[in-house]
Amino acid sequence: MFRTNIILISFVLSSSVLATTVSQISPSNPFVIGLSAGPAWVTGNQTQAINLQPDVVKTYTASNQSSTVASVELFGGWQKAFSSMHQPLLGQLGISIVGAGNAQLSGDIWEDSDPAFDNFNYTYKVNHTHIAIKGRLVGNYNLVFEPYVSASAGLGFNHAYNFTINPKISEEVAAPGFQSNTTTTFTYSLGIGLQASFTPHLQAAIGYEFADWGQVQLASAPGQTINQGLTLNHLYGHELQLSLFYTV
Amino acid sequence: MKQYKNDIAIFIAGMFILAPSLLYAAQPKFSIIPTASSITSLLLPNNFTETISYQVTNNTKITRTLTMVPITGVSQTLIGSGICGNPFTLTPQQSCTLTLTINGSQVPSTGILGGPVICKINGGGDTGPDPFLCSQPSQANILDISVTTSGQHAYVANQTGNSVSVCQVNPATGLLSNCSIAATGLTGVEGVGFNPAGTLFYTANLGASTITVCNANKTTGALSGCVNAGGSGFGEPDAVAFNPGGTIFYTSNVIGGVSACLVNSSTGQLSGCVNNTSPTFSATSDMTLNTAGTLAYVANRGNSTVSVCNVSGQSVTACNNLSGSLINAPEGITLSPSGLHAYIANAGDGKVIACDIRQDGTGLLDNCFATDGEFHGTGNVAFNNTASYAFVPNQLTNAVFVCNVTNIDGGLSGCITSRGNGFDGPSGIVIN
Repeated sequence: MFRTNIILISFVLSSSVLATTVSQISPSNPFVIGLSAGPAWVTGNQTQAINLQPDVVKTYTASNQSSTVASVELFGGWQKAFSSMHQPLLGQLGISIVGAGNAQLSGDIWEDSDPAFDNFNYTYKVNHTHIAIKGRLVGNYNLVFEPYVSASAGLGFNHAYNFTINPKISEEVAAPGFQSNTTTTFTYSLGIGLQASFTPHLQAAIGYEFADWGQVQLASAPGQTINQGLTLNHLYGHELQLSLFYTV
Repeated sequence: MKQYKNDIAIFIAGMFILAPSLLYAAQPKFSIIPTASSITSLLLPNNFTETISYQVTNNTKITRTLTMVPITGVSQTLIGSGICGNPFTLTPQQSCTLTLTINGSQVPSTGILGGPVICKINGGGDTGPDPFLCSQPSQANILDISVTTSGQHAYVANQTGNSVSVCQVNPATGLLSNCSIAATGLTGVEGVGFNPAGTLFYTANLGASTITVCNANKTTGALSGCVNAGGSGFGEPDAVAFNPGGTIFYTSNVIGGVSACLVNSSTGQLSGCVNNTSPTFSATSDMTLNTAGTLAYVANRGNSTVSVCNVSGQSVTACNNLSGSLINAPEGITLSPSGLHAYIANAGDGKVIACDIRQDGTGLLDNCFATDGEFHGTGNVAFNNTASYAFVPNQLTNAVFVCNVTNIDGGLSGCITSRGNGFDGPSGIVIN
């Protein structure tokens, strides 16, 4: 907590000191485009038991390790300055297109859902893209670092693929793997960060964004007679975003 | 007291740390372990079959009906006590024996590497394997079958059982397998051998003073149509030998020297037998010819010598029994396929004596030494076609031993039981 306060105070002080040496965000430019990139830590794998056949049940445990992927976002929209509760703000609203790298999810497989037969581990990958309506509220206090918040909601596409099973002992024979599948799903994100202007047209930002990338589902394995493949109701991304915005 | 409490605390903490690893463990759902007599890695000639058995155990908490994933060239034995059927049902911790027959003629040229894979059945009337719940043997115990060209068979005279056993000879290990009785009614059989073409099998029946001839199937090793070969003048015959052309049959007689008979090329019947005697002969117990058919080597149990004689047609003459040493009541004599060494099986001291054969035309024996080999009783040493393995019968243990052959001096080493079974007083042995 102490360290966080120090950082915030440092930001405010540095903003005051540098305020006269940097350009302001120009609210007179109505259009804004942005490019963001950064690492995202993906979580959300869940332990689940699945009946693959009427008399075959397996438990797929979830590794609690997160997967680190690269995420890229393109943003294009309009911006307008306004005041809310006497606070000078800059509002941005537009379309966001996001693509994330291959998140790898993994865990163990218990035969007969019996932990005494923890005989396999599994991995699969998820590739996420989404298109969303995104809004940003940027402080307009003439500081070097203006705070911002963001939110988006849209349609996501989670492509789950490359499901593989590896036996832990040579005596065990892997069952057929789940097949690839793309799930169309609702997705949303919430972000917070700081933004600075270098020129009246160019801004840079650094922030954190939490994203619920929505549902992920693998298709059933060849020969599987009941149920589907592994299903996650929510795949979460925690992203460190480094952004550049250009207003025209 | 404080130390005592600390120890308990450490123990409890340790148990908490270890508990998950004990609870979450990998173990096969269905254990598939080869039985003690089964070898799962084989070089299998394309005319052989081999039997391999595994014990299958259901380790799960659920009763399962199981089946084997089919393997080309492998069939399952379904009848017998404790044998796994197809399919078969095992309650938790219950076991059965999965017995497989590997047919070398049906195994793909690429061999078999893997399995047997045991799965639960699909269910709903479908007894096929369900790939969602399968186990297999450990990597060291999976089927690893390579196929090769036709293999040889070992024919063992069961002197006590009055029969002949035939076994497969593994070309890679020399071990014998799939032994069965190929011919019966051979009273006191001691000597066994083939004509040079390998199509006719002869036995010297010491107890009946007769010779028997059978047709031999070189592919399967089976003998058929065994009949008295005729001939005359035999007195406790104990050897089978031929000239290179297969037109003259020779045998030594415990009573009466060496017989030489003409051979009917189509039927194998013997006729026109001539009896050869020599002052060197004494209770002749075995004989053989060199590959050129010019020299006969006759074991004399009575005077513990080996006679080296000239051979010309049916005449066996000019015998010399002064060469060689360490010979003690010999019961068998065999020449190596190279013709460089002679092997004498001593009934007197149970040793196998290896001697050099002079390459000066005399064929006399030199540099004899006792070599490895678990010989006992009556009989002779035999070699496979590559002379890489020697086979030594042992009447005391009703076993045949297989030994490595040293190229340098012809010595035998590393003798082990051949795994062949069903022998009853094994004496003569021949590989074809």
